[in-house]
Amino acid sequence: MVKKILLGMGATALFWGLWWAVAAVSNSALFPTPWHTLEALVDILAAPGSWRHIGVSFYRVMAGTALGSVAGAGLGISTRYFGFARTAVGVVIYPLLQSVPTICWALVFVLWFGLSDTTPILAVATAVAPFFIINIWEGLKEMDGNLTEMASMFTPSRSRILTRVIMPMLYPYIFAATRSSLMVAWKVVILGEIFGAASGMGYMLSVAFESYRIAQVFGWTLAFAVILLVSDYGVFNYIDRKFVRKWKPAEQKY
Amino acid sequence: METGRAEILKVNGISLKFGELEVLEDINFSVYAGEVVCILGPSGCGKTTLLRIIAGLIPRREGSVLLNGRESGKSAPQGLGMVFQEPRLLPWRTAAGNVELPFELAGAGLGETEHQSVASALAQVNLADFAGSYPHQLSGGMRQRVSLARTLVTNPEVLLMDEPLTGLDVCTREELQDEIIRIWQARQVSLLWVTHDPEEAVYMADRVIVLSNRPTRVQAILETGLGRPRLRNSPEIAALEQQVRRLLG
Repeated sequence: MVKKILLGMGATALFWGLWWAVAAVSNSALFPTPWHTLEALVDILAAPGSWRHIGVSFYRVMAGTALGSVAGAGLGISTRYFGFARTAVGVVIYPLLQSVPTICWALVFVLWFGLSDTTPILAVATAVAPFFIINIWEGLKEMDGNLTEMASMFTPSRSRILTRVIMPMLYPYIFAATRSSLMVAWKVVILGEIFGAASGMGYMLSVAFESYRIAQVFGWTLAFAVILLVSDYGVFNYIDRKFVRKWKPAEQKY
Repeated sequence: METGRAEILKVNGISLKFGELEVLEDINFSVYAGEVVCILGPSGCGKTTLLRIIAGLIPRREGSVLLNGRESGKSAPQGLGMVFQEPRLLPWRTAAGNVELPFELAGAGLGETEHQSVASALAQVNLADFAGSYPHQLSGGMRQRVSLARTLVTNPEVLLMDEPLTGLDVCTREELQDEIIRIWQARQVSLLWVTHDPEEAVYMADRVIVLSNRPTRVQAILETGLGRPRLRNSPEIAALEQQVRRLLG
């Protein structure tokens, strides 16, 4: 435990040290030192307008992920019940979502919806939906058929078997999909906002970039990285340890 | 045996073919009210398959299954409960949560009555103190008790048991055999018990249905004619076991 903490501190120190060394050697306005970047970050966080932009990006990430997860999970689960859905998802929808770059979707959405919330939200949704489709697919494949058979002894209702038995079995897979989705969603939202919105962290990043304020660009990037690390290592690791690891129906068959 | 006792379950001319291979050939027998019937056969002879056809888990092509004189439909018939070889508990639910499952699946709300029958079923299988435990915290025998309680809350008329004690150690197995007999005596239920163990069959059953192999037919139906409680090492049981073993070949 102590060793782990020391190693972590060492690695962090090394990162900041290297950054500082490169910045010092290059001695260029194009490469701000960690100190300047932190200063810029503090300035950004102190400005009242910044939090609105962070909030807007957060909202788009959540809305897009929610939309993509419902659509992806719905499509994934429908493949269990309908042969038509199996073909549609397997042959058309999933490959289409997987193969078309998110930036192309984003461009099309800008053309259709202009600079609005809709563009980044839809871009996020198309980027995260495949995670849900593939994870639920995997979950359904790994699913313990013994449990659904047991449930069928108590009811002919497929919808109640779905909600009481199948969905809970899929929770760990949905959790994994949500986790990867949120990482991707943040990246997509920043990208989408750079050219497809008039607000949000990505928009602020592009404003700083266009006005040549390099420290601000670094500052916003740092803020973004911090949000991702906190959400993934803080929130998701915690949920994983606390709940998901106890769940694991695929590994424990009773 | 047949006189004066109500025929609860009638299995009528069940046959099953996998392609050219005849698995089950014209199986006929009945289960009467309040009796324990064991289906005994060599492993791989299709006794589990037969039980699953009766339970409605495998579609039936030939023959019929009558419960109280009524033909059972396609889905699992009301009045039949099944205990599988594996406990098949939901790992994310406590023992009590697993026993509540049948009510939820039936679309019934969980009211006072339901909670009471969950508690009494758990008490009946001696798990009252473990209502809040998760399956991974329970031993193999305890998990199978939970699965028995889960079936008991539906008040089945016939309990179908698919080698429920296979995989447990000898002590736990014998303990559970006695406990299931005690529960059977306390409830108005018939047991149709599939096993490959002649000793278990003779010790548990009022009647033993011995199946032959390739193709599987009813080779003999044997009345044990023993009272209860029974002694495991009694000469009567030993003699019956010998007789059954000879039939199995």
